[in-house]
Amino acid sequence: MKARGLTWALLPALLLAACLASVSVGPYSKVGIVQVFEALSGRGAPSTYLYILSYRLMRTAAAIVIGVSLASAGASLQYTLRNPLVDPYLAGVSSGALLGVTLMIYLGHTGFLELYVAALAGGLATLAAVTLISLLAGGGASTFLITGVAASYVLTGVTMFLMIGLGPKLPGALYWMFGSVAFVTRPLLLRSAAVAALSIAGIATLTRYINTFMLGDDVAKSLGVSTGLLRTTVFALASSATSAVVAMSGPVGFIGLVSPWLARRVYGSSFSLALPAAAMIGATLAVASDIAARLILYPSEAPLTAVTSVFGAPLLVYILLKSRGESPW
Amino acid sequence: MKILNDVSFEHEGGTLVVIGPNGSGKTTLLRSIAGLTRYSGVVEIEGLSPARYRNYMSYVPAQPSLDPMARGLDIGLAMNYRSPGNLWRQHFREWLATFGVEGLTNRAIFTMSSGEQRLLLIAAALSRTPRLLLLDEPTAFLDMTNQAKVMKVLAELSRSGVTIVMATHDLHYASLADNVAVLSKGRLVAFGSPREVLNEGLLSKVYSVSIKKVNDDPPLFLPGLF
Repeated sequence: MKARGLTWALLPALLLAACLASVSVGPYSKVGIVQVFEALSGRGAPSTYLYILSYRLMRTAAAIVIGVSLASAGASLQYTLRNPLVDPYLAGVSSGALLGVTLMIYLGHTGFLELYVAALAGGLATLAAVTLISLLAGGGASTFLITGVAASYVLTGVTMFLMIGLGPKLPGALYWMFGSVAFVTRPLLLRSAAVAALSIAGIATLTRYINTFMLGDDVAKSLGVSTGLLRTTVFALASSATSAVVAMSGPVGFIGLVSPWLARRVYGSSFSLALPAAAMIGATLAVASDIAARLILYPSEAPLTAVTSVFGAPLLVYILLKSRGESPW
Repeated sequence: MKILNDVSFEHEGGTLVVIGPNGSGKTTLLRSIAGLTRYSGVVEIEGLSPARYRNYMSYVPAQPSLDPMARGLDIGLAMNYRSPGNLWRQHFREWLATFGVEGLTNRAIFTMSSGEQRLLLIAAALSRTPRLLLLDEPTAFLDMTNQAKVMKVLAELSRSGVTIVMATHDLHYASLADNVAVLSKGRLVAFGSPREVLNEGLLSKVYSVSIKKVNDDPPLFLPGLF
């Protein structure tokens, strides 16, 4: 496929362009693309400009971490479960994180760090529970899906009960749910990036084994692959990367679903190629969505998940229509 | 649930064909040798347990579930996930060429017929250069041309030292084997050379239908449905 070679050059270029645009855009129109180059060339810009640039850089970095994590998690789950409808939130981690955050707000703790910890704890606890229950129920592919869906419903229901009792504090919880990279601070970003990086590195080392899922459980097992254990491991790694990212910026939708689809269109069924491709696509989509979030309701900000959903869904439909003859779904 | 009862045999090299009615335990027997089912007793292949013999054997199930979106070449890659280097690629292409289906490397599974998928999987299994080949109904879904191709390949492999254990419904292949195992309701009711094992009486009893020998050399059996 000729598209492949071209894409390897194109993807990083797109990402770089998106990053450049991201750093140049914002409510402080005095700081634009010209100022970016001025600062890069070291010609000494006013400190306020540098401050704004570094803030935007932080957002861009956060968006990249989100995009890479969600896309990698989504890709590994889609290839492992051989199901194109799977997204990184299938373990219910975003519902668990939301419950944690709502609980924190309910109890009166609204600091960034507290909410971060609550979200992370909620997400990981949900992951542990879903994994445990799935293993007890046999560990097959559909078991994870069903248990995750059930967990999502239960946790969302409980969260709704809590939200009723929040009163005037409700908007805070809702804004968290909308997703944003505007409030990411350096320590939070580094923590989340570390957890996500470790998880994704773990997935990357399992690439060879993940490839055997396409043969079916029987043949894979005959080759010596412990399919149940591998599935559980991928599930856990993908969901912890997702948890880390959700804790940092709230649940950002669609990127984890769409990026593997786009990667698959070009790279087909080889997970070893699809994973890095999906990661780069995810990063680019996330940065682009953040730019859009800043521009749509200029000078105020649109919620990130709203942007990814509203633009992501038509993108998905476009892919479906485009690949009508090429896939069995 | 115990499917096989008291099955005991020794087979040295060449082809072993396992026959028997549906539900007699043929697939379970193959899966036990492949190390995919729990069993009580001993399974030894060249002195090794199935788990330790994995690298030397290839298993092709009766109903594979391949990812519809996978490409032919990726299937070969996945089968050889443990082998470094590209030697398997050459073997894979050679086997596909022998079966006359080289074009499958670039096609997705969902565009292939069941016969083509079967040939692809067999080629992939062979690209691992196994010493033991476990085939569950390899000729199902194959037209006569492809059946002949596969059986010819298996005969050559058998002559060159690969051990083949094959479960099949086709009594014709049983008569060409080195050893035949007849299963009935989970029990091994006969084991030995085709000449010893295949006779009208035993087959009629096992298959619950009147079977007639319609040719002597090679021995051919047909169900008498009239």
